[in-house]
Formats: sequence, C-alpha cells, structure tokens
Amino acid sequence: MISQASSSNLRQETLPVFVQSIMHYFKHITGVPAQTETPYLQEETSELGDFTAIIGVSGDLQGCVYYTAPREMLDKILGFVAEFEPTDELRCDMAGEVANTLSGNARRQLGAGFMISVPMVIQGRPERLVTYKGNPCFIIPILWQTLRSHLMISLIETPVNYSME
Amino acid sequence: MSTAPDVSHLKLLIVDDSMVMRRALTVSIQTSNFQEVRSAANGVLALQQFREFLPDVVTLDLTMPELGGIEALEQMLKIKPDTKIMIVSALADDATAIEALKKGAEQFICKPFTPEELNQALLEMLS
Repeated sequence: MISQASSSNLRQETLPVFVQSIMHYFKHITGVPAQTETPYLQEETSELGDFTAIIGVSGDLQGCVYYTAPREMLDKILGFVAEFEPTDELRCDMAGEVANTLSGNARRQLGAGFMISVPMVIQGRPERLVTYKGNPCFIIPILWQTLRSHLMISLIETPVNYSME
Repeated sequence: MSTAPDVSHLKLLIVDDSMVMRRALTVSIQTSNFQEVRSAANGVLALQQFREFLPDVVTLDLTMPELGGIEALEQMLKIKPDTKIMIVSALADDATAIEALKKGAEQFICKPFTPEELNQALLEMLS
C-alpha cells in the first residue's frame, strides 16, 4: 500500500465558486447586485463585523467558511425578508442563514463531498479569528449598497490515500 | 395561467432551523389559506409536531441540528405516506436533490428563492 498524505492549500479555482454564490444570493434576495472586491490571503482574520457566522466543512475539503457583517448590513438584508424590526437574535439568525446559503450553494460546483455543518454565530467583534490549522484564509470583500461584509474561506484539501494491491 | 389550488382543508408544517426562514416561509406561502400552520426548528421537534399534527404538506430544510432533513423525511413518510413534502434547502448539488426525491420528497427548491418561485413550486406540488 502506498499512502500519500498531502495537505495542500485550497485551489485558487475554488474561489470563483463562492464569488458566484455571493452574486447569486444578493441579486436573488434583494434585487440589488453585490460587488465582490479582489480576494486576498491573510493568516489571521481581522476584518470582523458585528456578527460572524461559522460553517464547519468536512469531506473533500476541511475547515471553515465564515460570513461576517456589520449590524447595519444585516438590518438591511432582514428588511428584504420582511423583518422590519431587527433584533440581535434575528441578526444572528440572518448571518447564519447567509453563511449557510453561500456554502450550500457552493455544492452546485463542489459536489456533495463538500459537507457543511449548521452555522454557529458569534456576536461582537473579536480581535481576530484563528484560521483552520493556521492555514492562510482567503478573504472575499462583498460590497453591497455602500456596505461591506466579508466571506472568509479557510479550507484545505483533505489528504488523499491511494491504495495499490 | 395556473389557478391556486384550494388548500383550506390542508394542514402545513414548516421546518427550518432558521427563525428568519420560518417567518419568511410563513409570509411567502400565504399560510392564512391553509386550515392550520405550525412550525418546527429542527428535525426532532419536527417529528414531534408531525406525530401529533399529522400535516398534509411539509416544507423541510435539510441541514438542521439534532436530526437532518433526510432522516426526518423518511420517518415522516413512514408515519403518513401521503404527506406532500417539499425540500427547501441551500444544498444545491444534484445528488442531494435526487436523494431527497428518491426518498419520497415531491418537490425541491433551492435557497435563495423569491416568494413567486416558492409559490410556483408549491403550486406544482399540490396540483
């Protein structure tokens, strides 16, 4: 048996999948297109908003997808789903739902091997979030109606084991 | 143009772990037309509601804590096989949709959706 364990970083081609999910989401839910700014790599995530949703990923890729947004942006998105009196509970829920939808939609291209957890949401602005296994995190800034949120992709490819008789 | 079916004799159960989604579904589906509407926030609570409420129509999320949507779907159909179940999920891959339909779901709609798309999917399922 030959065993090969590689823990290469996320392929660059994976990012457009998430960019597509972002564009589709905002256009569909709000009718107002979002713009994504140039993604960049960071070793620690420091661009955190008032609410941060975390989706655990397992299967073909391992790690986390984070969606972090300021209160004002979540309030505006909530308005598009007929919630006109936002509370922190609703903001947490909305952040989680955005993260869940962006990650779930990514399975259209990444397939069912991209397995996602239910979201966990942090309220408040921690100074930083540690990335998955210390790997650099791709950060995609999302500009929508002059407001900025971020999708953060901290994933590595799952090591592949090749077996030969 | 399609005519909306009479749902005044039908009971609806909305299952989603997101409160925002449960409320959005309630508003979008114009639930006042149904005989009675209830909701549940995860698969376990959904099954509890299902057993006592015995709904005719269910909208069911897939990624939920406690018990996932596919397992809940299988158990619901064992209890009441003629229930019409529409999956409402962010999981956009074909394999998931095919699995849900094979296991007895009658409709699958992917988040995000507009109220019009949701009602069209529901209409197709109930027609």
